[in-house]
Amino acid sequence: MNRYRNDKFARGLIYTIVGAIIALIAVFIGYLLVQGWSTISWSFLTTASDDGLGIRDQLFNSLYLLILTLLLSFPIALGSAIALTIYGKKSRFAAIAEMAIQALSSLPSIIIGLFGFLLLVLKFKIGFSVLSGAIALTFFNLPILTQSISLAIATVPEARMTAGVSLGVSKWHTITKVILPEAMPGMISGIVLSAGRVFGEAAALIYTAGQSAPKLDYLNWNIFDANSFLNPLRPAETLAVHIWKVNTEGLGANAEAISKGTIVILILTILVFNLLARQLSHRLQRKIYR
Amino acid sequence: MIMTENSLTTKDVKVSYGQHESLHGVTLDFPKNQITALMGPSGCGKSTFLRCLNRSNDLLPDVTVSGEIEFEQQDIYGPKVNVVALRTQIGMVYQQPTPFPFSIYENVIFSQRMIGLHDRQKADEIVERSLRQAAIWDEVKDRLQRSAQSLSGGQQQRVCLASVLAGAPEVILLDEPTSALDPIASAKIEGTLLSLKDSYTIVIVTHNLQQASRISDQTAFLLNGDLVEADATKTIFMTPREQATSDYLNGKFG
Ligand SMILES: Nc1ncnc2c1ncn2[C@@H]1O[C@H](COP(=O)(O)OP(=O)(O)OP(=O)(O)O)[C@@H](O)[C@H]1O
Ligand SMILES: [Mg+2]
Repeated sequence: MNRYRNDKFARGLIYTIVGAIIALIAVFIGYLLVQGWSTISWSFLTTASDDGLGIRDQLFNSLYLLILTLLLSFPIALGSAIALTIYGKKSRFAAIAEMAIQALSSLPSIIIGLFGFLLLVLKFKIGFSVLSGAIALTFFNLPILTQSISLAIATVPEARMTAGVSLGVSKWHTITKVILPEAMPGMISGIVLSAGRVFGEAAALIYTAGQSAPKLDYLNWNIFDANSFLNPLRPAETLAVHIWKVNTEGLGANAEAISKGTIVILILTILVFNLLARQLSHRLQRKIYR
Repeated sequence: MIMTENSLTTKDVKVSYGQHESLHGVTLDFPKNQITALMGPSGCGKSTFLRCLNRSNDLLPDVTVSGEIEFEQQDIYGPKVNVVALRTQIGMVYQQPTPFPFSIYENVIFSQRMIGLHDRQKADEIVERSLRQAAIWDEVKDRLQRSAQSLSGGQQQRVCLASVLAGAPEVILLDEPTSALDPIASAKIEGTLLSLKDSYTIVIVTHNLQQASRISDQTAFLLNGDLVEADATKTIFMTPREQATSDYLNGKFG
């Protein structure tokens, strides 16, 4: 009977630990939400910070940067993941590349930010801009995204490749029509996880996308105009950078309220991402395994 | 033996996985429109040899294949060979069923879709003909849109055979295709193979001696990576030349 008692004890311990972690997260997020809730209002979301409290432009900048970053990093990460897990499997090159990716993923983001500042902002003279920020975030995002896409591809049984190829289907078609669709739910989880990280990143952006949010004109579609919301060469302070800046500069009486409200918006947005991705991933999975 | 045209010929084929040589020089010809059975105890290299014949060994890391393998007088390991096209001509059914996570219909028509078949009616025809040939049409005809992975192992195996047949290959390689099937389904597959040999050349790996004697024209016996002997199936079963062959056939090992 001893074995059963041990088993019961171990299970109890695990449940307790998991419960404690969940409680901790709940308290943490709950505290932040309660603190910032009073700041949230329609005008908080729809006015520019130059005119008062608002974070409209920061919110947009965060989303814009996220989209650009994913557009830049996803194709590269997908390509490297395919190269490493399918074409270069067990090769020396893949082993070295994997080591490099691991090293890069543990690089502190402030280093990436400063590197982006020196290379993009100063050397290439792109200036504090959406583009500089997106490129820096791409560096920040690539290692993790590549790793999670590789993992998603690796969960697809190897037999798919041999089966496809033995039917006289090319390797490329087997990859694009069989392996990638099957890996899609896993890839989406990976993308969302990295999107959350990117969305909340501040250090890599302070010296690349900059710390100012010029008032944007959302009706100006000419991307060459300085106040166009789509202009990639304008500075773009994001939510996370805004929180950092408001807290370090502590300007005005409203600084604390702004910062707390912004935190709530940041958390909620990331939460919404996760829920949407879950839905999408489930739906895809059902579609594949009808 | 009667002289017939050979579809595939092999000469001194050796295969190594890393440093370890698993096949030590096999020389064997596969006559056109005949069924050749490969027999031998587990681990003797039957699958390894079979995989050389459509170059699916290429997919494994660290495999070296040497020797000559010719398909219709063309060296299949030659520098100018289009491997993808080669594998449409030499199809293979694996020991483990390997259906894709698609519907049964899409599984069967997959290779044809990839070379640009979009005609609905033609696709329907190919799917039905292939599933009939693989002796599974009656079991699945009402649920072609269901996932192939929801079928039983034996049914999956026959869907895989249908997928190969849909590509209209010239040679069909089968690695123990009936080891997961009940006797009725096995008999169906055997019947299929017998009826297919008029238009295809078939190589089948089997552990089932009766099966080999029932359907094959030629039988090859492998042991520890060597070809012990190969001859007309009747000859092998009635008057084997080698002691090892007769021991194996009498169940003394393997
Ligand atoms: N992918 C592989 N990597 C390394 N060694 C392998 C691999 N596949 C087969 N071998 C080795 O090659 C030898 C022959 O294996 P093979 O699978 O060809 O045997 P088999 O005759 O098909 O056996 P079975 O009847 O069990 O299927 C074995 O010693 C096996 O360990
Ligand atoms: Mg085998």
